[in-house]
Amino acid sequence: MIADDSVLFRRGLCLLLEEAGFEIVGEADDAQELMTRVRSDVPDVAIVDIKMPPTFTDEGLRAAAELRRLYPDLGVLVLSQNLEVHYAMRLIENQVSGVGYLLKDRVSAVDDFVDAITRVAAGGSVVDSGVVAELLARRRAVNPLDRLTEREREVLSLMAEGRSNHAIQERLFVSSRTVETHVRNILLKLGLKEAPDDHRRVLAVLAFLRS
Amino acid sequence: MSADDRYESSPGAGVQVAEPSDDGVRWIPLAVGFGGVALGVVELTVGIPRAEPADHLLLVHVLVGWAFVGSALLALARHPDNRVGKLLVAVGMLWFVPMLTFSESSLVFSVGFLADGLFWAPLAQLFLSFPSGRMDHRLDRAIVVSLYVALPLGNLLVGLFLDLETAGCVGCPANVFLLSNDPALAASMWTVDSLVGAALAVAVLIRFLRRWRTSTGPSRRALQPVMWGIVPGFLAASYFIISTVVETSPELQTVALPLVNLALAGLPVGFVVGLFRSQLDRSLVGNLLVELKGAIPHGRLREALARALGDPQLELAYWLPESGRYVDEEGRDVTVSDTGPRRATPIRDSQRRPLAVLVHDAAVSQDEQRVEAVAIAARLALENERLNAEVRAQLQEVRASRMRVVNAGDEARRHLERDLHDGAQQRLLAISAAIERVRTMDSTPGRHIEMLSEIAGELKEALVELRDLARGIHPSLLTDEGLGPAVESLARRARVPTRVEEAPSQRFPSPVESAAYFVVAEALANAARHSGASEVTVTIRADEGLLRVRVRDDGAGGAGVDGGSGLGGLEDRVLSLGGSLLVDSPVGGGTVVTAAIPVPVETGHGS
Repeated sequence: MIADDSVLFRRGLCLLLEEAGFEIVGEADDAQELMTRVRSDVPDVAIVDIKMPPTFTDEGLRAAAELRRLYPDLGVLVLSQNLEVHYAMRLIENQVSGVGYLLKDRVSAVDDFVDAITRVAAGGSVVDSGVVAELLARRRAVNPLDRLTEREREVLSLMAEGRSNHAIQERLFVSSRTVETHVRNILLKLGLKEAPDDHRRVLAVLAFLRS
Repeated sequence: MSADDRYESSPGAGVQVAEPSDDGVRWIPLAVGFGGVALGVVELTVGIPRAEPADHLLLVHVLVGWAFVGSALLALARHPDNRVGKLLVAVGMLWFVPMLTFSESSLVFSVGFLADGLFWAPLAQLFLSFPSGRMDHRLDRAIVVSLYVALPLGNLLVGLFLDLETAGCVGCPANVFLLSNDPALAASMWTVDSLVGAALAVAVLIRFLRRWRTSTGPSRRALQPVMWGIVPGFLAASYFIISTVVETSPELQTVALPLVNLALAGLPVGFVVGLFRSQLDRSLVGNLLVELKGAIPHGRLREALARALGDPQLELAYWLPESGRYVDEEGRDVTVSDTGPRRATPIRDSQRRPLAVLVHDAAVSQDEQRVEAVAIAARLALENERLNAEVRAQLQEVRASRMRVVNAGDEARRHLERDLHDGAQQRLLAISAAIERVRTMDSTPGRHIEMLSEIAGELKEALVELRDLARGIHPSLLTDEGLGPAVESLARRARVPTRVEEAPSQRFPSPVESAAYFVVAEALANAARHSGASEVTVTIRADEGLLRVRVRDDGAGGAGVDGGSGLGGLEDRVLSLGGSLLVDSPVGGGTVVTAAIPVPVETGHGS
């Protein structure tokens, strides 16, 4: 299900996703229509623009919250034209899992986009790499991230994006054991506890970066 | 209200302090009068039996002396504080002193000899200080002092070498100062003395004419009778000087001398008439009172006061207590100067606070009571006018501020146009050209894909640039979510480690939020640009109807509101909302930017 007030964008996205092998079950102009359509036919993932009528502020976020509450198995991917850490945090903090925040630009990197949809559908979390980058780039007087090695920082940003160890391993072309070691070291150096699952891990990392 | 503390110095204008008038000392004029008459009588009684000069000459001499004494009495009676009266007394007394030469005693004779012609000194001082009694110019003072010195000194120098017996004075007592008898030297001394005297006399005349030419209003009216008196006086002086150098026949002497003396009598008459003319016309003040009863149209108050005081070039300036400066009726800044021929008289309101100041001809301040009366009569009108002037001054400031805001807006638009032109627009042009090429290119699929990748890259860049631009113009996060999230976003992206200590959770009217946001943005930019700071803290708090924004950095300090810091335009924006912007930036001590903007008071507390 795709909800976006721009017909042009919806059409483009539909074509892209159908090419990639997804089935589009419906389209909506605004949040209200989205809720109506979902009620009649619940998809696996809803892709929702964050700014929609009537106020064009955070309709998408609120719709995501509502959808997750009503349909816990439904993954919601929120797309935004601008990169705002504030909204990403709001989404993740409130839902923890089964949600994602991506910049609309990422749509053009089809493989990554498809991967994000798949992860959200499976109940994982997705955080746009730009959001993570902004959080990491934040200037601090005393930067705890300085304790990490270059590699460890790479792993950290991938963790913050919501990727699983397996995904990290594939991206960095290393063994799973290496990834585990890195993750453990990172958590140790930053004073973070081991999280019970990937989603909460994302939350913990993001919360740490935010503070 | 005692007359004593009438004029203290007022803020901003170095006003002269007028001494309190001495009402008790009335015996001075009486003493002068009595003394003068007595001296004249003495001269007559002593001189006539001697028949030294001819009888009628002696009589004329005494009459002139009495003329000076009489005018001195009139002047002292009317204007006891004015130096004019005292100078006239000096002239009169010194006029009679040479009659000491009638004495048998050598000492007395010699004193008389020394004092011969000394009356010219106070007379010159009168010329150069009439009618206020003060000499404004250093040159004038120098000339007069020279006369006071040169006249007796010249006589002394002559007396050193002149033995009167040898010179043909029969029966004269001996000259006490006689050093050696050298008639030739004495004669040359006399010539030198006369020439010096002549030079000084000419100098006095030139300075007086200059004063006459540059005088206006009451001063001019006062000097006019003196001018009439000068003509015969000048002729008299010339005659005296010429007669010492050139031999004159005794017949001419007997005719000319009395006429010349009589001519001198014209001077005291001239001075007295001038003194009276410089007084304010009582009726003019009466007219003013009637005029003030009705409403005076804006801008006419100055004219009315000028008419009442007889000084068409009267200047009127109002004191604005809040801004601590003087303005004219249009609200424009005025500097009040109290130099030279113009004097400044402060006017106070009914609570003794400074209200306004009149800058007028020095002659007007002769009649202090009249000026005071005028000031009191006009007080109410002045207070009204001052309110008007204050409003106008504020309007000027508002206009200036609006202009700055408009200019700032234009400047920002120009920047925007340039950024769009140089950045995004160029890219889009490049992209459209590339697309064109793809269209017309040969059908090698590899090349197509390459080109399209290139285009995609350029599009991404363009998007990023436009996004940043839009955020710089007005961040949507501020509009949608308020100050807290927007400022935190600024802090995250700042080039200097920045911490938001406190940010409000409630929303405010959008101009207030904009102003606060941009103050923070600019302060952060400054901290990164100039000061080399290592940490910045931002605190935003709303309490008691004020939104306080504080940005503190620990950099080098020395920043100001103007001078390229970009805070100048923000100050206008904050001021237009009724707020204030302060930059506290001691050199070497970091910078604190504080903005306070009024906001509607909450009825409850925000969550």
